[in-house]
Amino acid sequence: MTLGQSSSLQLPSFLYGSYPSVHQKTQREGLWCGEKYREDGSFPTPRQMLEVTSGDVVVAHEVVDFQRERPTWRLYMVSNLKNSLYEALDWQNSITVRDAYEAFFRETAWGALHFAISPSAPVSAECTALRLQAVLRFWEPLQSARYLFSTPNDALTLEELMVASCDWAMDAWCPARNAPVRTRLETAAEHMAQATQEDSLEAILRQMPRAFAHARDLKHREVLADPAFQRQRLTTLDPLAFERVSGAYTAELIGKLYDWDYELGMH
Amino acid sequence: MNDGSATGGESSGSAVQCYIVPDRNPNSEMPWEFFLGNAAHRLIAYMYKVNHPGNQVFYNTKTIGFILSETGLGDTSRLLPDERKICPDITDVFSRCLFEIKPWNEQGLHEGREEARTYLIALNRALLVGRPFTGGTDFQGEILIRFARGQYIWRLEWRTNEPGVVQYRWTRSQQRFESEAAAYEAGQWVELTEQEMRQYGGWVAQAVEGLVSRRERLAGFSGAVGIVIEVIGTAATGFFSGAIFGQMGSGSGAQQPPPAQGGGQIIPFPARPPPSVPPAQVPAAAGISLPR
Repeated sequence: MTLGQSSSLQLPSFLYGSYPSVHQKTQREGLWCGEKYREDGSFPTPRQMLEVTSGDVVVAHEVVDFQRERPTWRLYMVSNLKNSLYEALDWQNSITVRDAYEAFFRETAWGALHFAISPSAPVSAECTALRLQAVLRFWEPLQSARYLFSTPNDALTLEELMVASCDWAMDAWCPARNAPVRTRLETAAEHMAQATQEDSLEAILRQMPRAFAHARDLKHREVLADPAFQRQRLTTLDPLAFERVSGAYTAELIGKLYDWDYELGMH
Repeated sequence: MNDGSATGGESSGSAVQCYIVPDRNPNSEMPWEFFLGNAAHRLIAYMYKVNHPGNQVFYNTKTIGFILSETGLGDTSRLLPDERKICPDITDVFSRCLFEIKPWNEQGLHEGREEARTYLIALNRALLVGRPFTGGTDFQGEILIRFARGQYIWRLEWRTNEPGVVQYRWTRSQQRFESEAAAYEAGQWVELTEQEMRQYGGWVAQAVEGLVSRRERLAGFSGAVGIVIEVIGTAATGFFSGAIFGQMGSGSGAQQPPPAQGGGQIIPFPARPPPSVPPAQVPAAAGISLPR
């Protein structure tokens, strides 16, 4: 069962308004969530849900929120709520709280989308599969809105948003670029959910050139570009470290390249 | 290294667009001096993201406690209570670097150095996984803005002057130019006077918003991506406020601002674009509209 599932897209009222207004409301909501979590380990459902009119724009990334005085949907401000939640709990066990919050609100359309496009660590194959599957469950209602994510004046369809935010997952786990986005996401989620360590290894190696292209100032580029070196390093990661990269998330792979570059420089 | 690898490094001005500054939103509730600083901070964040599309980056609304919790890289209990709430201007998690952004002067450098040091100490004390954070380097660029045809061209320039500290400065073309490209080619820039900042500053933020929507053309100048960070700086924000209110109180002068609208002020631009300017040259500029 999902929380508040509806054929139309509904978002919590605390995500609508000018930036200062949403900032204040999400902060308050976070404190309330913290109180409830402290009481019984659960989270309260939002007091009020509002229907998003078809074609309404939802700001989905903070860096493109330039018109902060304008009332609009500010999905990315869930992060402010979470900051307030952690603060309400004195920053104790914040990672456990973070995961519990995600597991609970991933069962809503707005939560599903937020956690898919703004993932917390680990962005593992297992976690990403859950996030993508959640978005897919709410595909129809989520399709009714438009999203600001990459550029401030270019509202994206849901398909475009998912390409802008999760193309790494599709490229790594469903390389068939001609298939529709929804199909690719379904395939990617399915493959990630069932991925063995070897599957992850192959997906990572497929995505390494992409990460390599983004990584700047590497001092040992030739060594790092060698797939044999990459494979050797990946296979010696401890289970926790491997889990972090198992989804082949570009940012994590860039981090690994920097790690290895740093280690090579130590010798 | 120049930070413009995502932009192609073109130097031609041929793709330059006109940016004619439109009116400020008359319903604005934000005093324009704050609007100016905020717009500048948002622009640097946006431009950093543009240049680092694959990285996981947090900007100055995110606390160190939040960054460590979200990334799972550290233990927030190792932070001192005050450290949990501090927000570096740019924290690039997997590159393990951060930047603090300050005006291009000695005081800015000193403050930036101290703040970056404070952030690094806190982050690295709490860090449990991987390499330590260091001060970021090699982030630089510039932006040119034309207010109206035949006016001076303003230039916003920024550079990482020491690891972890990005500094910015604001100049204008020595002569009036018809286009940013002409000003760029002439390459002669002079310091802005306080009078000019007061007179035109409120319009800068408008232009900044317009520029953001055209990043691909911004990049055409030098291959560097520009950012504007607190163009006038915190100290000067006070100056601006004082100047505006002083101006209003004096009741004299041709540049007297119109009545306050919801707490905001509009500084009139003395030379509006002439009516003959073709509509095609009016950019999205401040009107980054949210289609509904």
